[in-house]
Amino acid sequence: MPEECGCKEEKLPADEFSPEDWKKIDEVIEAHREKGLDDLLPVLHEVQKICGYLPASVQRRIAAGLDISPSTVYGVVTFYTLYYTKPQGKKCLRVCDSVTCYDRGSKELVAELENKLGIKPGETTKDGQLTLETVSCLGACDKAVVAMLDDETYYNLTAEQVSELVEEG
Amino acid sequence: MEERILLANCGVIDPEDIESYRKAGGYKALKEVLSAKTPEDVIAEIEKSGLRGRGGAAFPTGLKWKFTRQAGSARQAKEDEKYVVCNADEGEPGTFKDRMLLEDDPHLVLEGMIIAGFATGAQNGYFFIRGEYVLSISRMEKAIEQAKQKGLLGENILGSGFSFNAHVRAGAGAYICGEETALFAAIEGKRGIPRLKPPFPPTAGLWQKPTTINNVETLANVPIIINRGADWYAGLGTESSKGVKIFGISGAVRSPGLYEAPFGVTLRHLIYEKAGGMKGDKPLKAILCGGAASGFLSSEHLDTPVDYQSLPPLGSGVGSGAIAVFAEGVDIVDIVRQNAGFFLHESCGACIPCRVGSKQIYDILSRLVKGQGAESDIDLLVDLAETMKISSRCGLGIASPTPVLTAVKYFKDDFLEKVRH
Repeated sequence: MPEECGCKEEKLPADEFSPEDWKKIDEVIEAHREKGLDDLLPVLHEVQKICGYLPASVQRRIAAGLDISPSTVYGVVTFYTLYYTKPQGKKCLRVCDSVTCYDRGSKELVAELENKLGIKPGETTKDGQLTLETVSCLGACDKAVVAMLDDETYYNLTAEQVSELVEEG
Repeated sequence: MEERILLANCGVIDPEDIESYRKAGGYKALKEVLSAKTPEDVIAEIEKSGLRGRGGAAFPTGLKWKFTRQAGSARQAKEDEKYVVCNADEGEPGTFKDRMLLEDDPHLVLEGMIIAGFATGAQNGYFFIRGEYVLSISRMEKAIEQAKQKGLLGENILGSGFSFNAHVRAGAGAYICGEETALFAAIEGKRGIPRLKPPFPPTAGLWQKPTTINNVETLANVPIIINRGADWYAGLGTESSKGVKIFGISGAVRSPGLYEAPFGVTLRHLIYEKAGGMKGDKPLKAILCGGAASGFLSSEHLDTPVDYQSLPPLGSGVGSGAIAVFAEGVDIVDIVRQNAGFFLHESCGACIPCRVGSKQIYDILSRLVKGQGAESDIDLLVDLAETMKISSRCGLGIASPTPVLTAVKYFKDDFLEKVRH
């Protein structure tokens, strides 16, 4: 791993990220370098926005940049559910399945989505467009069923509405 | 209609405009504190108000602040080595109050934090906000920016000599980080594994420094208490439970939503008056009162006052103020199973009782729901739940079996139904 040997002529690992992506990643790391481990969560959030997920090559780069071990980064990435180690769909639909939403019909809603998309929660459609997830409480239980499409929250959803949402999305 | 106290600004002011908050009386409490009070005065005022933590644990807020202030002086720690942390990692299923405060009145919470910083002697504060709460995060970041521009944050606030900075940290999807020491670990860049207590946060919190950690709603109470006085606040509610509380009523009611009421209000009043009664006039079957890790109650408990004294003997609690209502016809065992599935997923795995217990409880409940269980499974369920309660490492494993135990206690017939095939 070139990042760890201190070698100045660092070789970029062969992967799907462009040199521009790597430049952006390095800029994020640079901005937090002084803080090191303390800023690991914000760095992971920002880098994931660039890459879409956090594969080993990216984790190693972050580890080297923040001067922490790759295993520390791996441990954190795999602990939190909002960090991904596998490529995700272009969009992500998160449906709440906590008790209130469950009682108000999230089960039927998820079944409808599974049927329509041909995937189960945690999977991505074959065309790579959408990842479906079930999540715990999104903090709007008075407007159950609740779901998020990327950063946008949708309330009082029925199976029909969520179906339309996916088509438009 | 009763006066709105904590939610007075919600939906009324422009949460992205500090002037809008100021016009509603905002930052008056901070000015008063910085110009006319000592930190000890502020702590005394909060103690007198009877304010207790609104996140669920209900620890007296003034006492927590006092411990943090004293920890500093006893250990000769420099003032910049203390912290205030706002626990905004709301994720307890059924709970949605902090989200509204953060989205609709972020300056109220920020003002509370700055006052907490002054009282405890901290110079830095962190809002740890759930990663999924995208709007809450951006609203709080904006509030901090505006407060800085107006000289309400930063060096020498309003010429008082007191300096304080606030920061926002976004969570990354882990319910366990609502546990205070796991939350510190997340801010420190680590896996959210709880630490053993003691030492408690006022002695060794964030980066092992004296730290006060308060829930969003707790901090929101602070400017109100300063403005209207501890005596007024303590006059609300009951002897054991002073003040007002926000209740999040959800589920099978006509008008689900956030409602505030003084402690001592009955569940019946909250459900049938505030939330408009049961949807379709169906009979009420169960109430999950206090949050997903609190206890179930049944229709016989409707006249119970909601306060810190009346609910615990029933196996339930005020908790976060969540009141999830279920109508007759619900498969209560399936609801308990779904809820247990949440805790199975969120157990951090550090201790065996919680890691293994959550899995076994979920498996047994799944068996029962499928009609594949035996009557002995119900006893096993109770045995496991009680073992988890006494032996788990942190609050998650201690509290998460509560809904299972209370469901078996109040809805035994529903469980027995599942094994009579």
